[in-house]
Amino acid sequence: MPVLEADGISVRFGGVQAVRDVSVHVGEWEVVGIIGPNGAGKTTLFNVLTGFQRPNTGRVRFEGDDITGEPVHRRAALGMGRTFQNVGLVKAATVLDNLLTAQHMAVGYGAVAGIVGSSLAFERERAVRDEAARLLELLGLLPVADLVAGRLPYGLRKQVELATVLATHPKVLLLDEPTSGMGPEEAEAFGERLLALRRELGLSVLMIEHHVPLVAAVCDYVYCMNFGELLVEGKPDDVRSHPEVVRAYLGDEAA
Amino acid sequence: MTPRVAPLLALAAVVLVLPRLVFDSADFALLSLAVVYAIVGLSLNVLIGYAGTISLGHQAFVGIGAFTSAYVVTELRQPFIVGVLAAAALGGAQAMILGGLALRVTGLYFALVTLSYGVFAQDTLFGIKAITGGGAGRAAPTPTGDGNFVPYYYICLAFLGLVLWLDWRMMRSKTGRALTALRQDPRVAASLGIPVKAYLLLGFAVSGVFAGIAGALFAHGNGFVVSNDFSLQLGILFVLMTVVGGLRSRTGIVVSAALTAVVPLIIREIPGLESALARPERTVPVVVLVAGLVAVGVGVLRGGRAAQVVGVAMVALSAAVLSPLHVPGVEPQLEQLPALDPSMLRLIVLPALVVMTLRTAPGGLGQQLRPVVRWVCGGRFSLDAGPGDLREVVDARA
Repeated sequence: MPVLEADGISVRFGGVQAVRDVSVHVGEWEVVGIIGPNGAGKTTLFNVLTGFQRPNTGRVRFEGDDITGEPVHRRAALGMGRTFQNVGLVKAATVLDNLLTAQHMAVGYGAVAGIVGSSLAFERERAVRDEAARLLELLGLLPVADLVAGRLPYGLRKQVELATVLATHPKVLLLDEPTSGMGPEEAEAFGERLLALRRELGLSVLMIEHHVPLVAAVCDYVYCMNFGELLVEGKPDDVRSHPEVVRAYLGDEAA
Repeated sequence: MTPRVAPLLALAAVVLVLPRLVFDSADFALLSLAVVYAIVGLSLNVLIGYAGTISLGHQAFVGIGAFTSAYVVTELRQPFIVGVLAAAALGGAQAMILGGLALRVTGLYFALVTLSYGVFAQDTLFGIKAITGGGAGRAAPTPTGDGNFVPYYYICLAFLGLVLWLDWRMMRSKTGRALTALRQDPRVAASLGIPVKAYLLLGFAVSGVFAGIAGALFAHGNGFVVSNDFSLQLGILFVLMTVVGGLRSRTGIVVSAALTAVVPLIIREIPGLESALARPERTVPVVVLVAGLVAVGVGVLRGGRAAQVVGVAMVALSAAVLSPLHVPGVEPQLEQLPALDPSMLRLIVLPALVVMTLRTAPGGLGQQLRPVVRWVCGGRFSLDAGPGDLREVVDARA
């Protein structure tokens, strides 16, 4: 059974058809890539999957349940973790506070109990702090724990964002251009870490990615979009050499 | 960090003992009001500072608390503490209802909804005769006896302590982190599993509870509540004192709000100031003189020729009016102007302070006080303790 499945998604903004009848699915343990030139509708599709955008037609299913009408935070609770193209962090808060924020669903006490300062809340806060420290150590981010997230260098911010998403205990990761701004070596290292995380945490991954060698190296399946439509899908190597894909990226003459 | 005991004891002495030595017992009415304003400031801080929204109708939040407690105590014959609890509950409930309706729109439109809510409350809600006594108002006896404000001041302080505790715990628990996240980026907050709308409503509820408590204390400190107490002017004063105090800074807000409340006392204590304010033929030239000097200064620093010319003209004109020479015909004209009400002074001084706050110390009074607060809490004394990230883009938008 696929973990995440979108069926016949269409989104229209006024006169612009941003996404037209797109279906994707992510199986358990799969790493799936979405490629395509700028403006192809990739991020709009992501927004539909994560609940920021209602589709005009089509259904989204998570572990077989229809979640098309569910709000963003409910999808997060089900196990969808998402990163953002421009780094989704609480920028004025420290790295540690970001990880505490990300454990919102796991803290295990009510909002009112926290406000009146019940002993349960104090106790649970300590546990949440330990968990944050454990995650930071796992990702080698402990040295920057007390720094303000928004002031970190770009690459480090991306790593912290990944740590916060992992702190929500996702079953499927949705990554929006995770290697943008990285050099080829960094991108390769990122790919290896992603595969390691999948092994350790049993994750499925859907990612928008421009870095074609990375897609070829880590993805089990690739969708290529152009002008809001699905152009080609298949194994990375087949998609990469498909004449339609080459034409979409390089123009007519190259094909 | 372990707190330093000596400065904390000194602070306790200043708050608890010093007023007894310095002020008459009659002044304690105003000191109680200062504590009430501090609670109002903390209440507004939850909405503006933590949740990143705004309320221009906060006088209604306070007013509903005031009338609720007055009604519960005088009509239902319940003790004072029940009145305060009822005011807190109803304050929270009405804030949630307003939030639920108003949060359908954002930004300027949201501010307009809160503004009209405040005006609606004063004109209509507080005119319901059965509950508020209509225009005649409703009695709200001081629990410590008529005119006996010294113990009442300490009761107010106890409630301020409670509000500070709740505020502190909230910001140290998941609610505080959720509010911070949704203020800075609601999309990120939602994708971390935080129900954004629910937490905004919770922020409204907490703010309403604080405001309800403040309203009840206000009513029973006054002895009487009328709807005219809760004008739009008061709501704007609340917002100004909170921003000058420094959003998200408990210390700064408490100090700023208390100072705002005791301005009349300060004016009375400075000899001659009150009578001078009542004579526009004296105050207007002084204001023009100061404005002229500022214009000259700015003109010289920034190289503005026009500002220098206008400034010099203003200085010369006002100096001539103030000098023993007298400019014929000007003084009688100025005497025609309305005298400046001392309480209006706050609405002139505070906006100026807001502009200065945004230009020079974005964290407001709280930023200035931060080195001291750090030191008292056991940290090292450092003038750099007020971090620049106290200012956020969202504050400018709100």
